[in-house]
Amino acid sequence: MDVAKLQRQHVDLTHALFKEGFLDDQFTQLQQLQDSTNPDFVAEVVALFFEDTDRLLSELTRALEQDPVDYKKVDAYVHQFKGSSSSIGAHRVKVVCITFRTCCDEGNRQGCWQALQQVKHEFILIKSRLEVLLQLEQQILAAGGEIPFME
Amino acid sequence: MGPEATKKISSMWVDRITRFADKRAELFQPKWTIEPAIADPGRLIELLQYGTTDFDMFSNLTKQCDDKQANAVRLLREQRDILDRQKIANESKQREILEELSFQVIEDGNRPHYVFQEEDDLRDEAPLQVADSKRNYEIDEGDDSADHWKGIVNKLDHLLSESLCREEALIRQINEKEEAENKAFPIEELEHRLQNMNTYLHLAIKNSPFVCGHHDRELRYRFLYHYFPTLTEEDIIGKRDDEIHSGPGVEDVVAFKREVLCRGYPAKREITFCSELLGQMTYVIAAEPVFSKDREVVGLNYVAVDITKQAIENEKLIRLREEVAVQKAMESELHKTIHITEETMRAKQMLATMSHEIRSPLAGVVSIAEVLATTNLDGEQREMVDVMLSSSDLILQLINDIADLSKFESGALKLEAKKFRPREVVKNVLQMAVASMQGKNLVLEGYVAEEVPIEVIGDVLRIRQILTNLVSNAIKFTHQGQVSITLRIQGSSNNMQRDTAGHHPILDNANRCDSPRMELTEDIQNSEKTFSIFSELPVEGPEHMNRDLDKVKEANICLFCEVCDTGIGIPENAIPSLFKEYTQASSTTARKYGGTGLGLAICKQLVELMGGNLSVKSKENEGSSFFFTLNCKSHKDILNRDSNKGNKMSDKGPHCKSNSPSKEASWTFTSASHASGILPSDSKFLLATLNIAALDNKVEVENFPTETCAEGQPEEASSKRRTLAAASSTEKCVKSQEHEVMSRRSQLEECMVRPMEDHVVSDQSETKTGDSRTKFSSSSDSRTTNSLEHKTANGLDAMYSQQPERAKLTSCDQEKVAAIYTQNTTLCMHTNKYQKEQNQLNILLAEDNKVNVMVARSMLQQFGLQLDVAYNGAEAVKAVKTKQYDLILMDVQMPIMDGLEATQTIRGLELQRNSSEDDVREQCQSTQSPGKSQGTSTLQYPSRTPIVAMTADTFPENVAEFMAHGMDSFVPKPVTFKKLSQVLREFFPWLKEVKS
Repeated sequence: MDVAKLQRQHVDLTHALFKEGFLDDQFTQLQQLQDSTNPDFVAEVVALFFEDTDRLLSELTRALEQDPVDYKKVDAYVHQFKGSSSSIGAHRVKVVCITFRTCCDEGNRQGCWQALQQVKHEFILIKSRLEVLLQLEQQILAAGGEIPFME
Repeated sequence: MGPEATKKISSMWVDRITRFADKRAELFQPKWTIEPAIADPGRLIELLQYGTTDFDMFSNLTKQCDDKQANAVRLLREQRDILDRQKIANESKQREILEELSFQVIEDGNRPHYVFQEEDDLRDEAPLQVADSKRNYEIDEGDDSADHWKGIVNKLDHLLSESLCREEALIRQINEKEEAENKAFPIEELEHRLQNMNTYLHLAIKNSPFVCGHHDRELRYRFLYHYFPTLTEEDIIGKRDDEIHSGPGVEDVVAFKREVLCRGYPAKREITFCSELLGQMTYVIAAEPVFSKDREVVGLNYVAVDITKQAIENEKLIRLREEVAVQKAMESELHKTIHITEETMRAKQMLATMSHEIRSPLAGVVSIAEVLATTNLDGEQREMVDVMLSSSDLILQLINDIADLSKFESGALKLEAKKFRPREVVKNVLQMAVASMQGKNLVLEGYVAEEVPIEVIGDVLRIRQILTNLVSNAIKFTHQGQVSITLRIQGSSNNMQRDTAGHHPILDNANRCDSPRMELTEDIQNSEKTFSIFSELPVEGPEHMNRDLDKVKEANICLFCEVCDTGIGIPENAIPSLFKEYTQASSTTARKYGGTGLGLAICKQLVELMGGNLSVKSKENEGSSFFFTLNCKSHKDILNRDSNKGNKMSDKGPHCKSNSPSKEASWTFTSASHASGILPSDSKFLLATLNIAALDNKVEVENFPTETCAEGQPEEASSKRRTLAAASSTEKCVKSQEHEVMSRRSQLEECMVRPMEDHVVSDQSETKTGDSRTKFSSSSDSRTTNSLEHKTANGLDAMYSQQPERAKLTSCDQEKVAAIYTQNTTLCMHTNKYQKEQNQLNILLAEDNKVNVMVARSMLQQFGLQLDVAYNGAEAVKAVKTKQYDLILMDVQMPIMDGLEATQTIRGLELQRNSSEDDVREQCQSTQSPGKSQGTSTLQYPSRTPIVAMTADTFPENVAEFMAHGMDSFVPKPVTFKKLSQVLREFFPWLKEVKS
């Protein structure tokens, strides 16, 4: 495929992700950290994030199924989740995490459940988009192109 | 009613009863004479004749009387009727008996029972006849002859006649009674009743505070009942109110009564009047007109109730209500004020926070600029960097000042109570000041009176801050002459005298030459000598000193501090606003000299916080003098120990005697444009030199700074040698550094440190190993006092007072010291890693989030830095135990052990390690040669690993908490490369990115 086209797609997708609030500047930070000595940095971090999040989500689900709910435990997970999502710049996930923590502080089980569903939903959204983005990057690199850099 | 009036009335009370009783007795001869009432009896009769309403009572009485009589008659009649009926019954019975008797006599006597049964029944009805019937019965039983029966008949006849007689008598009696009753004269009864009523009435109204009276048409009194027994009948009857007494309000009473009279309707009114007779009284007067039968007004009745008390109380109540209302208004006003104040406080706190926020990035700028200054620069560039540095210093100062001010105003500033040495404070302040003289030809003087204890307890940081502020102010506004600090105990006459004799350079210019000390000072100025000797004070032996110590054994002392200059002075009209925030004497001053105008405001607040007062005396173009007093505590134990030490030393030998720690100390610093011989002379800039006059130790001072003075005293060779080792090692250190590329700044700082080293030689007796030891350990204990600032300051104290350790200070450490003194910010630690290669830095990341770890690792890779990772606080502590780190990045919220706890634990470990190392070092020090000790010491690690918090909670209180737990800085999360590198450069300013 045409490298230029791929690059344009990449730019468009990234723009869209930023515009829709899926990503924030922290993601740019990651992109900046990626260089020749560390060419797969973003992908690695994102993969780690996915892995970590999958674990956290299942832990969270389990924790919220307990009766009574150990909110301290839940809060610790959500804190982790918030930390990692904010670290990769998954803005919308982070925002839901903040709501989640508020519910957790209040001991609001219903709210927690809702937040969990929401955060799962957001995670699936960002995951699919990031996967597409990373795939695009792979293709660009494979085609010998440079990954366009967002300012 | 005034108290006098009350008195009068009560005193007359008993009098009145007796007197009026007499009077009434005379008038009416009545049976009941209880209450006073002054009446005109003629008028009563008149009223009875003419009045309408007034008859009612009389006729009522008459009617009642009639009724009662009628009732009595009725009762008597009833009684008579009963008797009549009885009489008839008796007669009929008598007839029956007679008939029966005749029948029985004729027929037979077989039924006597019947008769007697009848008789029995009769007896029930008329018990009077029982005895007779019984007699009859007995007789019946006895005999049955005709005589007998005749006898019985006769008897019965007799009985009958008797009965008739009784009846007649009864009837007579009834008639008599009826007659008598008809004859009874009603007046007596009436009088009796009236008396009763009168009694009741009097009883009822006896003590009631009311007056009732009757006026005729002219409002003249015809009757008066009152409880003011001061007036006799003659005074009242036939007089009007205004004729009896006068005063404001009496007219109103008369007018009111007249009004009622005219209108013909009853009315009520509350009237207050004041007369000499009654005093101030308030009455409710109810007046009612009296009509004749023709509906003509013939007079006026009135009742007046004394409500003086109630009126007064009412008034009070009203006043009280008003007060309450006012108070409520004030309260709400106050609430508003509080609210506003709170708002202001919040704003201030925000300011404080902001200043912190500003400080952090500024710290970055400053540190980079400082690093820039160390690189090879041409003249122009250097100048620009210098401007950059001085500007940023100014901003930092400003921010610190603002932060301080807002701390005062939000009440967040707490004073510490710690031991410190006033002499060293003065010395350090002066040393600092030398650095800021910047080419001015000034003499800096410090003078601490001998009675000032060696150690006092107070907040040394704040005191130093005040003195530094005042001195730098003084230097700023002084172009030639001198700036001096004086410290003495308040109320010491000896010093007062000295002060007035000549220590006020401005205020007492003429007297200056009287003081030998001043002469010398001038001498120095004239000849521009670098070193000077003060010989003003007499040599004092230990006995004298002990006496002094006894004098100041009390726990509380009042330190008097003064900072004098010979500068431009302050115009008189500017003095009142001098201590206000953001104010300078004039806008011209501000333009010419710069500054924020916060310095003095802060000083004043600080002094006041310490319970003192900052005042100023000034004369324009001659100089100013700022002085204040501080309440400090002196430590008894310290005093005793010091005095013992002095004694011990004096026992050693004659030289030591003269070298015993005289507590009076004095320093002079001059800035000379030519450098002295022992300092690197290739420098173009100004060097400060220091001379310590040990005053009572002329020899040593004269020999200063040659080492012969030390070598000539074998008695204390061991301690001296150590000192000399310190001095020489420092010198070596300095010389070796001369070859390095050094900034102007750092050289200046060195020069600042150097004199201190020199000072150690001559003033050795003042810095005692034992003391410094304790001091250091006390600073080690400061783990509990969590402020970083304080810690470093304590550390510095320790360094300055610690003589053996001095040798181990590397040049970098010295620079560090200087940096703290000039900036007093978190920059203090930035220079301790010059020797280390970038990639050799050991950095520990304590973070539980893998993603974060990865990101942070990648970021640090940009600097070529490698990371050790601990996944929780406990792991971090473990890592610190096994490896020496140059920096720790610490996530705050972690499982198992959080960042704060981990930091505290690490700080604790460091303290342990340091103290044990210090012990080792000291031992080495005493055995090793100075050169060696220097060699080993340069490789020493810093005792305190910087710890940087990583957190998403960057609220100021949280940040303050991090600092309180021993953290040095923080990076907000999510960590960006920019922020992380800023923080890294705070500690390692030379860090360069290795990747593009």
